[in-house]
Amino acid sequence: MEHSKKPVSELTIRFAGDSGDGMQLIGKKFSDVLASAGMDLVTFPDFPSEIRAPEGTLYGVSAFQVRLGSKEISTHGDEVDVLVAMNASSLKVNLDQLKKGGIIIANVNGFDSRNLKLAEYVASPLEDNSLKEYHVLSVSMNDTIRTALKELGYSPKALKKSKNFFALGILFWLVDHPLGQLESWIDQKFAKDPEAVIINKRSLALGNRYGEQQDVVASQFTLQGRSFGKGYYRNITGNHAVAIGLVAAAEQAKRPLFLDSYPITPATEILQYISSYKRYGIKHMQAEDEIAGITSAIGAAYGGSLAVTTTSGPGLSLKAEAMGLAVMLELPLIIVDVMRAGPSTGMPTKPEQSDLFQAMFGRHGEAPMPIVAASTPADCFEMTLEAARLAVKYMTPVLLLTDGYLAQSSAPWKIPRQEDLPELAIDTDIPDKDNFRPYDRNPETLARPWVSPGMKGLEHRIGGLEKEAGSGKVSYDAKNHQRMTELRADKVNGIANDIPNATVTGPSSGPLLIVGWGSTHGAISTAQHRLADEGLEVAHCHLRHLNPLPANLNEVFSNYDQILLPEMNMGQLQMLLQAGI
Amino acid sequence: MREIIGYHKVQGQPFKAVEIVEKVKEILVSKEVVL
Repeated sequence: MEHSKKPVSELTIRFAGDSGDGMQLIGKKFSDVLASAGMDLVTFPDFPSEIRAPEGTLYGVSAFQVRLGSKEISTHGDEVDVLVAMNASSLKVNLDQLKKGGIIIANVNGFDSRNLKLAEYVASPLEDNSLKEYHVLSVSMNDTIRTALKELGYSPKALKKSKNFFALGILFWLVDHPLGQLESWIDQKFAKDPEAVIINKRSLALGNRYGEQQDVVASQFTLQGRSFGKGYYRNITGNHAVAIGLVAAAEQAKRPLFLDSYPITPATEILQYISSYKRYGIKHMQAEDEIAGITSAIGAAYGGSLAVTTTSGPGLSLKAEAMGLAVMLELPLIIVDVMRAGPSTGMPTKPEQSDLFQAMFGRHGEAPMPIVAASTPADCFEMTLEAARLAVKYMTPVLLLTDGYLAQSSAPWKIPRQEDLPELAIDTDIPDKDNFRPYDRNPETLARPWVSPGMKGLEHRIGGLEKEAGSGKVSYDAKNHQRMTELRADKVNGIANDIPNATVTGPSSGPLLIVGWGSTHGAISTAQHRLADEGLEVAHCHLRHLNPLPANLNEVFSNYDQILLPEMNMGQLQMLLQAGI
Repeated sequence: MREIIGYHKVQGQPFKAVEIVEKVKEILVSKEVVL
């Protein structure tokens, strides 16, 4: 059948199937290939916490959504244009996200009586006319592959595993994109399994040919690449951007990087990515628990390394006591908290912004700590560098907040040149080495000197006990404790003079300012543009420094009649701002 | 500090742009009514 070509400026596709159907793999590869073709995009992996939920069940559905565009794309899309449904449950769970008139690509083999029962369908939605508002491309993917590749003699199980590539072949036809890059990737990915290379490439081609021959979908979608500025770009997730940011920060600080973490969803990937950068002299460990992760990092910081530990909400709780130790020692330390829905185990693969109170207050004693938050996957790189800058300049632990959405979604990132990165200046000047005092302070930053152990004349003790100002000797003096507590607070508060003022996009005054932080950036920014298209001009201020806050924030707020603050929590930043903290 | 209107979502899903668009319209319309 002859198909027309329909130019579109954006397209949202959701791959949905059973947890074992390989939806994350093909969604990511589809996105990577189109990103390399110059598309702007944002992805959203949406999968259950269970490693392998029972096959065919509603709660075992795994999905991957990508929104592609030839214009600026900031979110993964509110509504889906094309839904790939590999079984009945994946259709049932995701159908409400598909826009009316959208396309369903359904694997008929996943709609047998067993799958229909598990999805709680009385009759097959592919046959009962309930999907009449959509274009439904029903194809028996398993059967088609089995029949077409029968002469090769491969096992039915091996053939069944390649149905995701059949679906991917249809998608590549639908967006009118050649298969070459993907075929090369299959050659590399499955190099140790020649059978998988043949089956997956043949299934991909079969799906692509099926797209050409079917007559349900009349048009292919054509998208032009977006006009990005000059430079080298890649598609990157927030977790990967944090890992690269840590490597870059260590280079800029001219200190070795040490990372010790206990695996926890959704932060584990940072540790995994870091392990692939060993060529930069990085030292990393997988700790036996969260406490070991942070305390060994504190030890590494004492030894002169740029030290890091990564975690998620429950892990941050376990690290709380040691975070207090880092505050007391006044050593640089980066703590990355990839927030997830809590409390307790909660929903480990789902995002939330509900650790802000814990980041701000979750320690015993008076233990203030700078907090920064990334707003996009690419911004995870920038804010990792910023966390490192504050840590080494002010000799303090710093909390970097991201979340499961930022961590696992991806978007294009302009790879910076090293000469464009900020220098992470470390004050190594000891004015009077003959009278060295480990808790003497830089009068501007209030930071104490960072002295590695083993340097003659600079011997000093550290520990969790209160220190005498200047000398660092153990002190139980009442007034000294008051003074040191205030010094530690003043040091953190003073950072407000060393961070950018809050800025606004949109009108500089008016009826409404939308304030956001973290991963709400894309949704707020997209909403702001849509409202402007309708003639409603509202402003947007996105906060990247949460403690201390930008010094001009009250002045910015005073320019607007009303302030709206969307958060993925029950109002934690709202409460902090309202309380004037 | 003036009052801040909170919009809280704890469903394990990021905000959709359409949700914020609707909330903004709700706020601006309610203000018109008050005026």
